[in-house]
Amino acid sequence: MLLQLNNIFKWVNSGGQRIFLLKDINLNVEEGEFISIMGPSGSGKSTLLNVIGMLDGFEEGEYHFLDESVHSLKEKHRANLYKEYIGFVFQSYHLLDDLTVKENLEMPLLYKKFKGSERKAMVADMLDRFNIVGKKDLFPAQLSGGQQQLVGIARALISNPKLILADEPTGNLNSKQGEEIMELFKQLNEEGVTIIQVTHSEKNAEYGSRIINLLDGRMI
Amino acid sequence: MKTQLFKSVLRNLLKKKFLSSVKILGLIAGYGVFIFLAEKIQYETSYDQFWNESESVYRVALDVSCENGEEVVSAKNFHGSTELLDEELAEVDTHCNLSKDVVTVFNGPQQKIQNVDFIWSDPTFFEVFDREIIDAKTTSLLENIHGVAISQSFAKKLYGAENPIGKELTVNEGWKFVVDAVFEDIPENSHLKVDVVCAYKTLFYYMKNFDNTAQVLVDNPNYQYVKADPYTQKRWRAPVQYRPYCYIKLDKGFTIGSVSNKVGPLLKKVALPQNLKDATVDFIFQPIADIHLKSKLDHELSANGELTQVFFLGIIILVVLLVCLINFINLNTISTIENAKNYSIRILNGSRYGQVFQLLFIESLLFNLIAIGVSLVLAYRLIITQIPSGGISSFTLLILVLIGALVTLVACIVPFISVVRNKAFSIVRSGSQKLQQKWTSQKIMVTMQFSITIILIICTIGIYKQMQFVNNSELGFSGNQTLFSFTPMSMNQHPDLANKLTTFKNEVSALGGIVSFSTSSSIPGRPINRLTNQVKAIDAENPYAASFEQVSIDDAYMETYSIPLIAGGNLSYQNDWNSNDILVNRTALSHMGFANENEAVGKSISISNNNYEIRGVVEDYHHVSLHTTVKPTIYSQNLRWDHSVGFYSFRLSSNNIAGTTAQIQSIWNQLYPKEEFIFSFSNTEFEAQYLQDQRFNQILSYSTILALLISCLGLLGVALFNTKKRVKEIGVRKVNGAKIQQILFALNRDFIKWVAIAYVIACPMAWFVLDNWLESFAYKTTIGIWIYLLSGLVALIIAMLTVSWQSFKAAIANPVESLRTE
Ligand SMILES: Nc1ncnc2c1ncn2[C@@H]1O[C@H](COP(=O)(O)OP(=O)(O)O)[C@@H](O)[C@H]1O
Ligand SMILES: [Mg+2]
Repeated sequence: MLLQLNNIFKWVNSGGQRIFLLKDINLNVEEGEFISIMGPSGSGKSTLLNVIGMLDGFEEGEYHFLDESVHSLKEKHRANLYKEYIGFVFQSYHLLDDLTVKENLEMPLLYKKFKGSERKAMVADMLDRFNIVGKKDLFPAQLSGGQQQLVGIARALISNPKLILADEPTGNLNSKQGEEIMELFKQLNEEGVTIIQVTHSEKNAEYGSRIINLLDGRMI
Repeated sequence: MKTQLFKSVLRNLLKKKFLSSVKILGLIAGYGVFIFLAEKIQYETSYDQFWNESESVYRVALDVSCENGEEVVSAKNFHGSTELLDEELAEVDTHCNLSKDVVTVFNGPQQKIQNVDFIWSDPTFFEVFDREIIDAKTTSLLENIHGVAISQSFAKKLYGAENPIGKELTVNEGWKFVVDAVFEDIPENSHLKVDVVCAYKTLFYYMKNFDNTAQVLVDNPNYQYVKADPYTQKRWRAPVQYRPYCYIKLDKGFTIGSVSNKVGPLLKKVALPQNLKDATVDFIFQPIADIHLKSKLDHELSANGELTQVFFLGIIILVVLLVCLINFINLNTISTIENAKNYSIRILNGSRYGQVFQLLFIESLLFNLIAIGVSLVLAYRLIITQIPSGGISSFTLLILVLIGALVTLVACIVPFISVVRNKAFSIVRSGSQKLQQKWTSQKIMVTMQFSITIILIICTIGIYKQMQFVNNSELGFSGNQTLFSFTPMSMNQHPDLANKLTTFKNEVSALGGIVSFSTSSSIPGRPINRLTNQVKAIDAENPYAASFEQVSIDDAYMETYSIPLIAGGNLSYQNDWNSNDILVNRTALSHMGFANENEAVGKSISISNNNYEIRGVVEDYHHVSLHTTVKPTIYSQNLRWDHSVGFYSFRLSSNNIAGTTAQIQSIWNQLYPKEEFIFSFSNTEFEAQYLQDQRFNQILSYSTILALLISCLGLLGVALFNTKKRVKEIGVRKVNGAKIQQILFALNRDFIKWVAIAYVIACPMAWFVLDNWLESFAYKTTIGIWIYLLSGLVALIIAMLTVSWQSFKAAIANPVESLRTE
């Protein structure tokens, strides 16, 4: 068992009213799964992903990640946990504009106490694996959307996370580029990485082993 | 269209309350400082320009170079000087000499005014220094031997609403005068402060015919005033304390050049005394409007201003304005960048660039108008409390408007060019409000701002340190618990002077609270007006090269001011307060050719052909401020006072000062019933010498704080924008594992770099400024390296606090917020 969500509720108070963003979410994810989350816009998909990624808290319920009870962890521990085990991929890539491809890949390692030589090796490895060695000195603006997302995924993977969380990773890409990313995910999944992705496309969802449907913050 | 523009601008301002108020505050501070200091500078430079034809009035100063190389340049001159010029030269329209006297004016038994601005002068006084005659009994002013002219405000002080003409007033020892004329006040911005004018011939007449015992004037109906002859030695002989200040007024169409060329030949016609014949005598013609700021001669009439300080004030104006201007442009650029999306949408929808410029212009103009309005009000309130007869001149207003216009324009042109017309300004290409702004201009501007601020901080600390040094320096005497008063004026020339003084001393010394009592011609903090270069070894041909300062003291002076004796003995008590014993200070030793203090003791010397014996040698002490060095000084035992007034000094024991002063007062009242006992603390008197330094320091400190504040506001604005711009980056870094302190460091690193560069630029400049300022002190503190380090640290800490406030907010923010895709 990689993670387990039990009766998760998340709400915000607005004008004296409680607005539920997530309602009674129960979810078990085993290592090696590839899960697709679907649902209309505003149904809480991103919110759920952020909760799983520990970037966002929740008001009620239990969250177990590996052996830890995330709901009772302090902020700092939670941060350490996601730093170690989770990689994030975003719809709009979120690469840093003023860093080159190589530097973008190296960035997460700077925060994880790797030596310079180790970092170089890991970055080189990743560039190699994704076939972007030739682009290592380019800036994000000089890449196509698909290539940018490739870098985004490489960055998420660089410190060997157990889990990849991808929020509409193909949302800004054309279908051919999207397909390539999905193939990549499939391949990564086969190599043992657990993946949870949000997607609007039935076709992309099919890459996953399981589909979760959300409506108004509730799993259906 | 116009109203829509205007509305858009207003909405924008209100939406960005913080940025807008920072911009406004910065401008207000800058304009406020400008208005205040501009007025201050104008006041300082306006001295003596109000006189009618002030450009043709000159003071004739005296420059005497002796054969031994000694040169004395004195603001005072011989009576004969201007009389000779007037007599001989067609260029000279008229002249007048004047001598300041220290007097107390009495109006009946009740009322008296001490330390009146009283001068003796020629009847031509009002021809040289034109004043409107408000009221007069006669048309020939200052011709009546019993008459005086008084100023309007003095008349009011003395007689209230009553008509002053024909009223009687009494001066010092009982000389009675009649008010003949009332003249318009001389404004504050004159080196000349005059409330009462009396003719020289009156002085001579009263000196001759006043019976000091009976204290009445015995009129001499046969008296004939003989006009002095400038060619005789008599008019060229007076020692410096009896010399007047001499002024000439040129006739229309003449320049001073033709006058000064003729001085040498003219002096040949005069029967000069031997000491002047042996020396090179020259006159220096000082335009009266230059006296206040440019004249630094010996024996000035009143404490003049400092040209360098005016210069520094000008620099402060520039610096503060520059800081404010940079701040405003910088923040304006930032808000333009923030608005870039709106502007580009306007342009996409067919607006012309000119219209965007108009938008920027209106905004800039609005800010400047508000700031000018508010700063005028604030500065005016400050000016009326700080500058005599102050207001805001039309000149200041004009410059202010020009500066305002310049700021308005620059502050909209810079962002227009760097943002709106920038190639990177294209939302079409990137599809979102993404602006790859080159960040350099902001960096440079903030760096400049901080450079200036650091310079100001260093200078303020340096000047503060010098003032501390000045205040804490061992002065060599102690003025603690020491009071002083003027000697009673009614006793001048009085035969009972010595007797009464002895009685006074005995009674006062018997009081429990009195440690010692002394009388002297000067006290620490007061200039020594008596200088002599007629000191020589008893058997020598020629006098010593140096000029010696001379103070008349009694046997208790050194004890009263705790000045230690380093050799020989003190003066001993004399019944008639007079002896041929003298003391000299340490500095005098080498000028008299003594190898050490012991060698001097018991030696006789001659001063102006009278012989004196050196009883003892005292340690050097600072008689006047640390602006000047300790001069060789001779202390002689007699009751000769520089302007018919000396000082009583009382050292009190620590307990019950109020009780003791009351006791002194009652003794005084018995002995000198005509005069009130008015006293001050000697320490206060000494410190008063630094008033101008302190005021300057104050202005500098306030300007520094303002500049620092504005710089910080500017920095805050930049930090605000910087973090806003980097919000996404911070989010990305955080989800990739960056800790809060790592984010903080990354955000602050840039700013630290800027401050560091600013610091490197600032240090040498600050050193230069400080070094120059310290030049005006003969005794200087050392400006250690720590001042520079401290200033850098202060700037860095303040900058970091300012920036961190923003950085911290950004660093702790939840990345989910910043990374949400809209
Ligand atoms: N912090 C928040 N405060 C208020 N409303 C929120 C907050 N976060 C998300 N929402 C709202 O919750 C709903 C779900 O958002 P989200 O999870 O982003 O939807 P999805 O990703 O499925 O489109 C949306 O209506 C969104 O506006
Ligand atoms: Mg979403």
